[in-house]
Amino acid sequence: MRERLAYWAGRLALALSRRLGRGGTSLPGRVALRVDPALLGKLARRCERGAVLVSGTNGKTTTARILAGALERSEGAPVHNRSGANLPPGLVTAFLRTPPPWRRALLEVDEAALPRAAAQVPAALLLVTNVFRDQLDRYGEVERTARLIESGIRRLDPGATVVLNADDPRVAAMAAAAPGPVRFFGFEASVAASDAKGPLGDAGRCPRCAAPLTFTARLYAHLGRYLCPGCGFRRPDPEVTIQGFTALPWGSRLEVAWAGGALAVELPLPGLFNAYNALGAAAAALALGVDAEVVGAALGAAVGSFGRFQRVDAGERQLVVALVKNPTGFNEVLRTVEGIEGEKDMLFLLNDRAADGTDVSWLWDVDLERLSRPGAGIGAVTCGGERAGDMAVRLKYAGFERPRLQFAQGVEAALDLALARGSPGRPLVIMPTYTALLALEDVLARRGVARSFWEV
Amino acid sequence: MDRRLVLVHLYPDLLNLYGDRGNVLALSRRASWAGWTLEVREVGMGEAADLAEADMLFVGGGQDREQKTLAQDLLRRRDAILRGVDRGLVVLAVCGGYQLMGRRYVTPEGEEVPGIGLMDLETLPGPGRLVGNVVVAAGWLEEPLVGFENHGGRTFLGPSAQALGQVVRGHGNNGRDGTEGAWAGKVYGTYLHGALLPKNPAFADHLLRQAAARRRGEVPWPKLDDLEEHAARAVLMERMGLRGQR
Repeated sequence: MRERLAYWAGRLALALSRRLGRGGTSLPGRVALRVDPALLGKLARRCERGAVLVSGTNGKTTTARILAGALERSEGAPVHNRSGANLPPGLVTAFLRTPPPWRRALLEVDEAALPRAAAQVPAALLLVTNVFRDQLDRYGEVERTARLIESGIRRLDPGATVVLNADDPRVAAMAAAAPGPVRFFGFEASVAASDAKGPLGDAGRCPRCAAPLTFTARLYAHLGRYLCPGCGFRRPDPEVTIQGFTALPWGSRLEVAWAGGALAVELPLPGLFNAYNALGAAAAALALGVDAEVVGAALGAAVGSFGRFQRVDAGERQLVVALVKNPTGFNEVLRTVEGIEGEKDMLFLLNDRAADGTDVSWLWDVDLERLSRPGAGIGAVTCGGERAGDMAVRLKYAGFERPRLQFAQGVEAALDLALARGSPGRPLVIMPTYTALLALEDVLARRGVARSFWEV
Repeated sequence: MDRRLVLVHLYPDLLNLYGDRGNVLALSRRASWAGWTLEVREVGMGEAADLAEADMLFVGGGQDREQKTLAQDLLRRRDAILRGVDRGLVVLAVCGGYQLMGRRYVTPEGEEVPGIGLMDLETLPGPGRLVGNVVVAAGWLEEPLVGFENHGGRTFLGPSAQALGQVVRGHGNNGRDGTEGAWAGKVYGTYLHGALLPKNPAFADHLLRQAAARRRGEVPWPKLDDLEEHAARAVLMERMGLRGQR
């Protein structure tokens, strides 16, 4: 009874927010949860095939979208929080937006929300992408994030499969917490473009005995092939692997292999990080029994989420929007941007709300110095967002100076400044933090440039 | 004319949390803008460091679970650091590094980790973490210190320690007595990052000037163009209801 009331209260809120022209990716769920705080578990239990959860610090939204493509092709569209609203109200809203009956739920879940979600939702599978340093002020420390995910894993049903990134030592170590079967995915291809040289810090230590790990190969950040000289902990052999990786201008060619199968595919999303997202999605889809052919089709048709390296035409300017949210992701975006032919202008949009991380000092761990090297192909550089000044200070110390470096407070003012400064032939690469991306999307939609976030 | 300074950066591989790299970067850029060269020597755990030749020492902040390992290494360097300080070594320690400059650090589990006792202070565990933006009035500087804090330990100053400044917004050393950081001679400790020195150019220049004085006596230090720095500070000050203050 309470469940029905909560469901219909949420549906009403959804209808109202739609009428008001707002997407409402969380609000309807918030209303429904107020009526019945246990609603998420109740709705998820109505799914014929249970739920699939995706967590980890980076790549959740894109990974879940690729996996959704595979599920959609093989068994019909799942209930899915595609916009990336990954706290309980967002998860509930995904159900409110999809008319029943529900076959399966595919839920991207924030790390801090995972323990509760895993306890409530009957999950058939949980996929963990990676654990990078992210928004320390919100969770305390990296190790805490990892422990939150582990505590989620412990609460899964014994029948649930846990799919883990073998190349991330901290994620691989989570296998010990799994009550049921574990599958690993990882890179077997050696990637020539590796510039994994930065300090490893805490992530370079053995998650079991804290001794420094020996890496025989590194892809980026702390992802690679490792071995602990102290306790013998080592990278597990992954079941689903990437055997070949070739970077293309706006994507990559991948050779994916597993026991009993292989597929070669052109992934239309650029960068090594997206290859990882595709690999994780493939491993999860295969574990769920999706046909190899269908998995290949889903990878080949992968569409980035809004702002995840998305190209947008704004009149004569081409915009490339790439969300940045932590040092590792930022570094990978910069590396991918460098692969874009010719000169490009840059716009950095830094906000510091809860979803961005209220501590902006993570910027200093980003290798922005690489942009000021001669030959990097960078034209005008503009900073904006609520912490435009902090971004400008960071770039100043990275070797940029006025007049090439300029800043304006806010998102819209900075966008206008960047558009006015650059030359029409050059693409403008925009790198916003999460809430700055939402603001940017608003501005672009208002100007008729991009579709609405919640419609994508 | 020798315009060279040497900075030893301890544990850059381990204590690279919270953008500590920014502090070293700020010192080296500002030194060069002022016509000096700052040579940075990175020293990891167990590696030899020649502190006799150093003008500055920087120790950053790490995760709680690294504190013990660090303390052991730091204790082995204690005498060398003390000798350096006697000869005018300028020390800046942030977060975890700051805590270990004191007499002791007690972990949340109640374990006692000895510090090197460079300053009269101790750090005890407390409930939750003290997190957020901070503004500190430091009368000896021309502008308040601004930054971000994130620490579980509560630091209490002994009678012979002096606070770096008084908290205007935020928590500071322990969230109770209104103090933030500590200094003794040319040794400075603070919980502020953000990163600290790029956003507090007056403090960065103060440290550099002291280091330069060790080499060549009192030297004039040029006023640099800090437009971006002041824009970053102004947003923070305004948000904290301190509009118009620099």
